[in-house]
Amino acid sequence: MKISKNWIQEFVDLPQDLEPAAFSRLMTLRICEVEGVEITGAHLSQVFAAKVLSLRPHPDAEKLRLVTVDHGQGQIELVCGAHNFDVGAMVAYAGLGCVLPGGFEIKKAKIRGVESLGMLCAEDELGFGEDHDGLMLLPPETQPGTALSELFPDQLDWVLEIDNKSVTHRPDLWGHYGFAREFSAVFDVPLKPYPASPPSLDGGPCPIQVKVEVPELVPRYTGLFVEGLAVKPSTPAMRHRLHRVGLRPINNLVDVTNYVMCELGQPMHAFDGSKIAGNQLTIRRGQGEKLMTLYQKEVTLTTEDLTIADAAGPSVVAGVIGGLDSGVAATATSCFLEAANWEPVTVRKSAARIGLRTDASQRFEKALAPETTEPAIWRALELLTHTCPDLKPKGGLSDHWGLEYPEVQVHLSYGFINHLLGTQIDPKEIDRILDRLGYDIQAQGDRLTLTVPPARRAKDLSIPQDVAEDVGRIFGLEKIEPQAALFPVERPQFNRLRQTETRCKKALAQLGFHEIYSYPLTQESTEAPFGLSQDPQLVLLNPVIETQDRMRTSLLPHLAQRIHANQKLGRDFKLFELSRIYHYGPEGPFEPNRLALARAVEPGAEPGKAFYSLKADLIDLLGSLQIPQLRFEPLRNPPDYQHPYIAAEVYSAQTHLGSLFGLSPKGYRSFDLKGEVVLCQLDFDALFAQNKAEYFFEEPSRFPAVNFELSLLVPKRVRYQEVARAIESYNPLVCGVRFLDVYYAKELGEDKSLSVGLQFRAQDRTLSAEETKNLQEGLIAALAERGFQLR
Amino acid sequence: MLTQLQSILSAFELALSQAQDSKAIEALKVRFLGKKGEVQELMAGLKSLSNEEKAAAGKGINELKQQIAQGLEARTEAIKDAEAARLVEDQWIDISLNPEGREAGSLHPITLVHQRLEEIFEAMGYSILDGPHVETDYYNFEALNFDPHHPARDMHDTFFFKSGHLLRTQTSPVQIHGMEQMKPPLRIVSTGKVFRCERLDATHEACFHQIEGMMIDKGINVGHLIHSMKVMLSEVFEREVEVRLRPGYFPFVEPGFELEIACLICGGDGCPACKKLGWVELLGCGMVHPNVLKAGGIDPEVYSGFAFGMGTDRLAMQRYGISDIRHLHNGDLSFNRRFSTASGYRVF
Repeated sequence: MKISKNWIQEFVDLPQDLEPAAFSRLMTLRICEVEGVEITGAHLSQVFAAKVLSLRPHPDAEKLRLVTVDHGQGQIELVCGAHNFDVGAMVAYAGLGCVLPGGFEIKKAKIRGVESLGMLCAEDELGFGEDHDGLMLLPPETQPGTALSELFPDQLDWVLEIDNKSVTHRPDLWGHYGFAREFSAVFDVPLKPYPASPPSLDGGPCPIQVKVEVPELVPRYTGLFVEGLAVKPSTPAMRHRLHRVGLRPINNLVDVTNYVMCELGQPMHAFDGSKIAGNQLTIRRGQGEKLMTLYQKEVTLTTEDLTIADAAGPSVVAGVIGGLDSGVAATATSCFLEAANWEPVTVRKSAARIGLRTDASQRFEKALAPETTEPAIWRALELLTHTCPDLKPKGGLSDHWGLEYPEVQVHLSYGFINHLLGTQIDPKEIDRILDRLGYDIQAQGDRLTLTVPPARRAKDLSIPQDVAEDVGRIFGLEKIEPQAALFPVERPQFNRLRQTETRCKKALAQLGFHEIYSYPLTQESTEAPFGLSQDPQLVLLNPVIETQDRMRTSLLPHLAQRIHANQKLGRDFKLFELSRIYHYGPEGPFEPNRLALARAVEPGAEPGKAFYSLKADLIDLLGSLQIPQLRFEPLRNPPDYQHPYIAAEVYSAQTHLGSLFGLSPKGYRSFDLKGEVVLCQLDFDALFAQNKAEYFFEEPSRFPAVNFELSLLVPKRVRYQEVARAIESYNPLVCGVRFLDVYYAKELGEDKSLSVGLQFRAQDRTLSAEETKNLQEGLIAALAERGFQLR
Repeated sequence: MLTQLQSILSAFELALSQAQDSKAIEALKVRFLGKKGEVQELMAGLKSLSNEEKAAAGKGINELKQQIAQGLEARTEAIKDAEAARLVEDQWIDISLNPEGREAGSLHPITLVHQRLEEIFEAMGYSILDGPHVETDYYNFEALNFDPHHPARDMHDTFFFKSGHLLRTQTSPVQIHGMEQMKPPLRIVSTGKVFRCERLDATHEACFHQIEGMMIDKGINVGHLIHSMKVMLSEVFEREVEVRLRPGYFPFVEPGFELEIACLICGGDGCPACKKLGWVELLGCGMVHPNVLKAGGIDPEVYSGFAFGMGTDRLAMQRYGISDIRHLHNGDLSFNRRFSTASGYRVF
């Protein structure tokens, strides 16, 4: 919405020393957000009235003419392409150096070989309107040389672009008069009364009979029949002003209704006086009729929509848009001027249903004050007489009140306001602010009873906090001093889950993992290859794009996609995501936390490089999180995209935490992955709930250990774990069993060579040479018995 | 005899001057001082001499021995030094390599910003809460004082599920969850994902992030709000930040404000970064609406409080100079790697 400073100034005297930037800043701080301020008309002091003295054809161009003008400072010949004038016309001449709106600077130019020292301008070039059909013509009696800034002082203006969202709660701020009221409070100057006085009426009945079938949806409907209308262009002043605030001038009737809307925020409509079939208008719900709107779009009126119908049927979607035939003909001599107040939710729903938000519907849905319909009519009448001096009302005002907005009173105290704001504003100052804003004040000691200004009672103001806001913003929020809150020192309440998350993420970054965020939204075809599918309850009714139409049930599918994308840059990396997945159960939706890890490497000579890398990192990570008794077990029933052997379930004691797995050839193919990739998904909630490992000190043996290393021939698919357990269980003096090496070779046949290191150590004595020898031989024999021969 | 002594000494000195390594020294030792060495041979020649001659010659031989031994020792030292120096020269390594290093990992910029914010608020005594993403109309709208016809409830902004649930459009539902769980005085803060039905572009995402905070006690006022915001933002930006409130509208606060900070680049004078305004809008805040307090089971006649909410994507983008919000979700390693300080690949 665009707001003109000159227009505001018609209703309130603003200080003389304002600067545009400071004015717009003040407006933002006190009232609502100004997105920008445009200074208009600055160029007009360099544009002058010029009288056309003679015309001759351009020697080289048929469509151009050479125009000699008197611009007050002398005569000059210019090249001109317009033809809407003749000798004697008064035109607008922009001299060299003048910068027109849009940044176009007038320079010495040769047009088809003829030098032109300036430019004769059209309305649009000067910022007056959109007209580019010909030159802007000034009244012939104008003195040549008069600057246009003198002829059109209103054009020297500041136009403020208001963020509509910032006034969505303020029905009173959808017109200039509302802003004027605010500035009267900001600058503590009086607000002028709105210029709308009822004319003398002939006392007869209104020729149009209005019937309101649904008063509960129509707080007020006001209309007046007028005669002596002549449809023609508006005065230049009105056209220019409407253009400045972004409205296109049409004709005097349409322009006046728009003009009043810009002042009061009250939309208006005019019915052609000769086209109201049966001279009767009925305000009712739609009945499924089709209506072609002004924008040439056919809509169906439902019973949820309000419409106004004459004997021939409905002609408007009430509060939103008129029908194609609802306009006033250029030849009309009478009309029925309407200022209505529609129930806001009905209008909002209608506008949403037909997909059209108009200037009118935007305002109606804010809950306008019903009081403004009548002054709107009087103001429109008065403005119309500027172009139609013979205009006069016929019959009385047709005025119908429906749904009531009761008067709103707020009870509070001066102390409350200061307590909430953290201020010490003098009660007199509070009174002054509230009075300027239009509150009716009744004070008794510290107590205040306020009657809310009518323009704001329907929605905006109802509780003491609302009043405190008004006082605070006009007083100046920047004057409120920061204060530290005083709180008792309490036991801190840590979020242990978040602490664990943070520790986990930091540990993973230390281990070289990069954290990614993926979309919690996904689609069926992304999850299906993982054998996953979301409960239909968690499918969106209104997705924005089809690839994001449901909540994910796993972090893995997006992780696989990210691996694929990143493999274009290199094959060696680690990724993780710690986030939520979404399920729907008997109790409703729930959101478990999952940790997903990925390791991608260039493949090595032996399989398992990525697996062992990720396994080592996982042990480091879970160790740093104090997860006790880690175990890796072979996978049970892996799905076909997982590798059956390069895979393990991860346990802490008896708790299953998740799994890590390489991909089967099918997995590589369906996710389009290269190299060697291993994925891991852990149940982070289970991990968090797991008891943390306790650390105990154990007295170490004071006696020396005997180191022993042995290489064993072991069947290929026997896991190291089995061999290590066999060694450990041989004798309590065995300790520190550790893997040294594994060696596969053809000559070993179905076996592999496994080298293991261990120690013999006693708590209470030094082992003798003989004892050691017996232990070693005994161990070798015991292992041979299990099928593990010494190599 | 003496000439013999002299010629041995000369031969030794010549050989010694030519010896270049410890092996040569060892050979000289054998040649001159060994059991079958030249000096030993002289000793054998002593037998044929008279006692007097023996004494003189013996003395001479001993002196020769000592001279040779001293010569050898001195030369050995020099050679060892030279050899050590050569060895060190051979041990030159390329310290610009980092063969034991591995690629440094990274945390997502949103994680970095959230962790920082949580640290700040934890230090100020706030409790960190969390709430569901899949919410009900009650928590996302009704309890937050959105009237039934508020435009934000339109399908236009909110994702709805078949189950009747919706994706939270703001972190504010955590205010209600927090008040249900805790009694005043309370200080809570919550970071997390929020969702809006918006088409993706450089500054809009269907999924983005916010931080929500709330303080409730007897006598909490706008001054307390300003103070908390100033502390938070000064810590976030690691410098003293000037904050300013202006009117703003959110259904769950009254009065409601937009909080602006003096542009961090120009300090408030106006520059291209702040569109010459000098001030940058950063977050929405206000005093908790009495209806919201009631929904949380707190008596608005006794308690008051403030609440604030801030988009953290923009904060992260501002903090790290990220130009396009879509980077945050595309999981591209070349993006992530900007957030690790030292990578094994990049440090020389």
